[in-house]
Amino acid sequence: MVSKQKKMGLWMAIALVVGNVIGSGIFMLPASLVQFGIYGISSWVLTGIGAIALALVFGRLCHKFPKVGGPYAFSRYAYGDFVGFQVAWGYWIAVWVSTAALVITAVSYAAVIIPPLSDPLTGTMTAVGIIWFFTLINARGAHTAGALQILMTLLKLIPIILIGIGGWFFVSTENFLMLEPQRVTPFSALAQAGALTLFAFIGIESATIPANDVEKPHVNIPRATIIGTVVCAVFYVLVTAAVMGIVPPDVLSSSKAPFVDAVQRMVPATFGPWVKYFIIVSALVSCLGATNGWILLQAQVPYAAAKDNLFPKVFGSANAKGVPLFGLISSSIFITLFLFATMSPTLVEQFNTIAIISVFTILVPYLYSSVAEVLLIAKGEIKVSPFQQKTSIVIALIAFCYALWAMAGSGETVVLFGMLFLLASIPIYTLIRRSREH
Amino acid sequence: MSNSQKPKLGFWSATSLVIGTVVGSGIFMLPASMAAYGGIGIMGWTMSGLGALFLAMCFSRLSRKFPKIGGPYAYSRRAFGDLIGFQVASSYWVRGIVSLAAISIACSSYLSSLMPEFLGDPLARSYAAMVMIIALTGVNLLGVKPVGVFQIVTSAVKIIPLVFMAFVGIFYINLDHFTPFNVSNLGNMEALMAAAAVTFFSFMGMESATIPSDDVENPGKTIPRATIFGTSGVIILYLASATAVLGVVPLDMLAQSKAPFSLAAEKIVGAEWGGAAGLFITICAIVSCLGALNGYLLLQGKMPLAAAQDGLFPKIFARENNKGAPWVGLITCALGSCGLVYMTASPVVAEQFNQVCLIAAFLGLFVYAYSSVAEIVVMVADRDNVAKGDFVRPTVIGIFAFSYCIWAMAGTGAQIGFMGVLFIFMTLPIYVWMCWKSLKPKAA
Repeated sequence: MVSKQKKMGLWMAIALVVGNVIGSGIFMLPASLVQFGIYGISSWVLTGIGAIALALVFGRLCHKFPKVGGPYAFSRYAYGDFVGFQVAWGYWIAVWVSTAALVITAVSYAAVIIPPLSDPLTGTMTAVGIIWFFTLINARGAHTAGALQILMTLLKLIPIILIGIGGWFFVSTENFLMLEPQRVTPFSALAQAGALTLFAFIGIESATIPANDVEKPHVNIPRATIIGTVVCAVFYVLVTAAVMGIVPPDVLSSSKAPFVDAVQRMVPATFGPWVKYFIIVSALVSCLGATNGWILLQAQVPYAAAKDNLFPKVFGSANAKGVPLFGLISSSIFITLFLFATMSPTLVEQFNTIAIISVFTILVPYLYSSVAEVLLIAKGEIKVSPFQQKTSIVIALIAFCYALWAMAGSGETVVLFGMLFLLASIPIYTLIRRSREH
Repeated sequence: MSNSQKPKLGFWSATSLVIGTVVGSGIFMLPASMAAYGGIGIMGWTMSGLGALFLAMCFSRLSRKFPKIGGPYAYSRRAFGDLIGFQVASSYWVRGIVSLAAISIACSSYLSSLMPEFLGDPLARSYAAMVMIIALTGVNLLGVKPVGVFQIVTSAVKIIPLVFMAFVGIFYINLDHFTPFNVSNLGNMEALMAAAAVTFFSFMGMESATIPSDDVENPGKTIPRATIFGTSGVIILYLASATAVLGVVPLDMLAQSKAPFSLAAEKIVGAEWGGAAGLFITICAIVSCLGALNGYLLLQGKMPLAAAQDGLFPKIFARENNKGAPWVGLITCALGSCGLVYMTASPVVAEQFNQVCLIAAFLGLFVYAYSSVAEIVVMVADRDNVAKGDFVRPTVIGIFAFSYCIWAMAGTGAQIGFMGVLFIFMTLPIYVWMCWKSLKPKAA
C-alpha cells in the first residue's frame, strides 16, 4: 500500500537539498574566485540572493501544488503539455548525466588514496559499482535513501563547518587587505565571479521533486527548500571568505587544493600530512552523497510525466514501496552505459558535450519555474492577497534574472546546442502523444 | 461582418507577396560571395532550395487546414500552446523589424550608386532609408488593396533580371567556368553544406502569404497555391540565374564584383550596352527592395494583430484604421526599424548590425522549426479523427523540413545562436505580463 510507505521527514528533505547542492565544486572554487578578490565573496552573496529567491518561488509553488516532479509539474501546470514535456525530457537527461559526472569525480578522488583506481577499467568498474549500490538503496524506498542522505550530508558538512566556522579563528586580516581584483572593473569582476558561483546552487529544487515521498509535502518541502538553500548560501560565503582569510592570495590563486592549504594552517604541523587525506575523503563523501541524492530523483520526473501521458507509460509504474522501479533502473543503465563510454577517448568527447548541454536543460526548468507562480496568479489558479502578489512579482523577477544570468554564463555553445537538443525532442513528443491511450 | 466588403488579395497578389518578400536585396549580390565555391555552389542552391520547398509544403498544408491569421504564429500556438505561440510571434516580429532596417539600408546603398553626390555620406543614406520605410508604411496604412497592387508591380519588375538571366543568360554559359567543380579549399561535402547554409537565408519569407489570411480571397485555396507557386518559382529562378551568372562571368571577376548581375548582363549584351544594363539592374534591385519592404510591413502589422486578438500581445495592436490596416503594429514597427537604421549611421553600430541580422535570421529559423512540425503535432493530438494513412505525408515533409531547420540553426554558429536563444527566453516575463493583463480582470 502506497499510504503505508515510510516517508521522508523535514530533516531528510533538508539533507536532500543540501546534499545535492553541495557536490564537488566548492572544494575548488575558493582558488578560482580569489583572483576577483573581495568581489569573489560578493558574488556569492549576489548569487545566493538569486538562489534564495528561486528557492522561495519553488517553496511557494510547492505549498500550493505539492505534486511529484517539482519544476516539471509547475511548468506543465503553468505552460501546458508541450513545455512540460520539454522540461521533463531535458531534466531527466540532465540528472543522469550529472550523476555520471559526479561518480567519475568521486572515483578520481578515491584514486588519490587507492592508486589502482586510476586504471580506467578498475575505475569504471568501481564507478558502476557505486551507481548500482545507490540504486539498490533507492529501490528499498525513499525513506532508506533519505536516511543515508542525512548521514552523508552530515559527513560532508564536517570540513565545511570546520573551515567555515572554526577557520575564522585563524583568519588574518592582512590576507583580506591584499585581496585586490586584478585589472578588472567591479562590474565585470562580479559578472565573471558570478558565472562561477551561479552553478554551485544547482539542485535547490531537489526537495520539490519526490513530493509523494515526503510527509506533509505542502509544509515540509517549502521549508526544506528554503532552509536548505539558505544553509548552502551561508556556508558558501563563510567557507570562501574563511579560506581567503587563512591562505594568502598568491598561494591560494595557484592552489590545487585550497581546503588542504587552509586546514594545514589551522592544525599543528604534526597533523599536516593527514590533512590531505581528510579533505580528499570529505570530497569523496560529498560526491557520493550527491550521487545518492540525484539517484533518488532520477526516476521521479519521468514518473510524474508518465502519469500525465508525456513519458512512456512504463515509467509511471511504482512498486509496493512507492519506488518507480523502471525509471530508477533504466536511468542507472544509462549511467552505466555512459560510464563505459567514457573509457573510449572518442566517446569521452561526446560525453563532455552532452554533459555541458545538460547544464542548459537544467536551467530551462529554473527559468520557466521562476515566473510560473506569477503566471498562475494571473490565471486565477493561485489566490493571494494584493500584498503577496507584489512580493511574488518581485521575487519572481529576482529569480528570473538569476536563472537567465546562469544561462548566459553557461556559455555560447552550451546555449545553442542545448536549445537544439530541446527542439530535437519534438519528434519524441509526437511519438509519445501518439502512443498514449485516451 | 464588414469583412465581406473589404477589398481582398487574390492569387496573384498573394503569390507576389511570397515572391516579393523572398526576393529582397540579397540575391543581386549573392553570386559574388558564392563565387568562392564554384560549380558546387549550384548544388548548394539545389539543397537549400529543397529545404525551402519542404518548408513551403508545410506552410501550404497548414494554411489549407487552418486558414488563420498570423500564419506560423497561429500554427505554433495551436500545436504547442500559448507560450510557444508567443515566442514565435515575438521572434517573428523582432526579426521583421531587423529585416526592414537591413533591406532599407541595402536599398539606399543601391540608390547611392546612382546618385553618389547626394547620398555619399552615411547619415544621408540612413535618412534615405528611413524615408523609404515611412513611405511604405504610408502605403500600408491605406489598406490591403494598394499594398497588393504595389506588390504585384514591384514583383514583376524585380524578377526581370532573374528571368533574363535564366532564359537568355543560359545560352551564353561557358562550361569551362564550372571546372574545377569545387574551387573552395573545403572538401566537397563541407563546401556543399556551407553553400547550402549561405543560400538558405535568401529563401526566407516563403511563409508570407499565410500571415494575412483574413485579407485573402478564399484563403484555404489561394494561400496554399500561392505559397507553393511563389516558392517554387523563386527556387527555379534562383537556381537558373545563379547558374547563368556563374557560367557567364569568369570566377575571379565574379568574386571581385560589386554588382554580379550587371557584370553578367554586360557580358551578354556587349560592352556598348553594358552601362545601360548595369543601370537597369540597379533600378530593378531598388524596386526589389521597395517591394520587399512593402511586403514585410504588411506582415509586421498582421502578426501582432493576430497575437493581440488572442490576448498575447497588447490589445492596442488589434486596432485597425478605417481602411482595415493594423496601424499600431505598422507604426511601432516602422519606428523600430527607423531607429535601427539611424543607429547604423555610426560605423561602430554598422559593424554590429551584421551580427544583429544574423540573430534575426536565427529567430526566423526558430519560427520555421516549430511550424514545420506543427501539423503533425496537431494531427497526433486529434488522431481519433485522422485516418492512419493521412499521417504519412505530413510526417515525411515535416521530418525533412524540421531537420533542415535544426541543421541550419546549428550552422549559424554558437555566438549568434546564443544571442537568439537568450532573446527567446528573455521574452518570458513579457509573456507573463501579457497573461496578467489579459486574464486578470476576469479572475478578479
